[in-house]
Amino acid sequence: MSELKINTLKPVSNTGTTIIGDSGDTITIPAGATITNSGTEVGFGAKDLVKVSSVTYSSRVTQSSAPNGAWLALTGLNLTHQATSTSNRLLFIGQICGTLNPAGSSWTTRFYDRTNSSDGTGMNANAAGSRLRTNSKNYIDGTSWGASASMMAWVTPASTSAIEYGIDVKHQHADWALNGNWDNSDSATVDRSRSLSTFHIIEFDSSIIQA
Amino acid sequence: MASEIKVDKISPYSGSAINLGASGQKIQVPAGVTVTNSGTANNFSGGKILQAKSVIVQGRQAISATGSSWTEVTNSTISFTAASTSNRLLFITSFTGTENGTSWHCRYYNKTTSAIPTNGCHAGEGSRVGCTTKHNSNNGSWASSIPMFCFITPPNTSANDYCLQGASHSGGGYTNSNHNNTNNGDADNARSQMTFTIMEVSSTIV
Repeated sequence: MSELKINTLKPVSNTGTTIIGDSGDTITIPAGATITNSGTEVGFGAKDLVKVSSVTYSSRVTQSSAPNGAWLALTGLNLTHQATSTSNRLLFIGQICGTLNPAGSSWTTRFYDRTNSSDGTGMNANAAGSRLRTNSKNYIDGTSWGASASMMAWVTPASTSAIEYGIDVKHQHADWALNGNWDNSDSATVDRSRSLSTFHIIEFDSSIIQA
Repeated sequence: MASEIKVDKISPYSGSAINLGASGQKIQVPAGVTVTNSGTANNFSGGKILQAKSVIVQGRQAISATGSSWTEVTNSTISFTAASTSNRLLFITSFTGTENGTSWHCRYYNKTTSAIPTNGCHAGEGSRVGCTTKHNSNNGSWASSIPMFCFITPPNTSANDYCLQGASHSGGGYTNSNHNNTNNGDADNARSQMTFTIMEVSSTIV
């Protein structure tokens, strides 16, 4: 076995290429050695997840006397994400716990691009007559109760600038609250438990997104 | 003084192995340099999620089947080819359904094997029907969005068509809307969308 001891390996020309080995050869980094890449690697495996942004909100938020009023922005769940590439895709995952007064009715939630004032492609349902375009629906049948619903969407980032996304709610009856029941008595019963609402954005590298 | 050698190609003197460095030494790739692997790389920290496919299901559809009879959700099929049966498939879905005063449920289904995916649906107990998740809608004005999270063992490394299915207790079920379906801008009658995603997770981290 021959051995060449050097500190730096470079191509002959300044911007040339150095090839290590031929097809069938094996290049080994021995155990205990460290290879540090400060440049660009190509072909060493998909990057899969590029970046994650996440917010958890635990406070109680209420809106009163607004049946089917304007969308209520749940600003505690606002989330700024700067995509690395518009070819990547963003998986939005949320869970929203809500309650109503009077009970016996619905609320519905949507994802919203606050930076561009858009309910963006992929975030919410397509148009269907005059019906609201939303992502998720839920209901409650008693003011002692609350209920959590899932939200999910695949979103194409509009740009590689920082974009603030959020979650809005609209409710059928007068009053709505986040993360608890409507009665809100201070006791340790299951009815009065507090819950979390969350919003996560996971950016996937385009190389692993299959059509 | 650092030594430097300029060469366009390094080959084994004999055999087919080249060793770079020894234990305790460092090999550095400076910023601005590109290292391209066209062969096989072992133990580099590539991604652990190998592929992801998804489908967004729009529109209202009746899930009028009852009991053990299921309705396939239109446009919910994902054809997925796992790289290895040792890997696991993370199925995640937000499913919106309704009934007209009673229960509805949903499940994952493998149309290719005509079977429920392993770990993707309860097998049932006695005469009870198995499902992945379930809910109710106590009024035709309402609906709910619920999660379906499962880790599936792929049956093979061929293409499998997975889909969503739903069923309702009394046959009055629908997806992505309430039962009444009135055409106005009320919260009750809002339309939602469903998202079904499959991610293949490498067995090295499962």
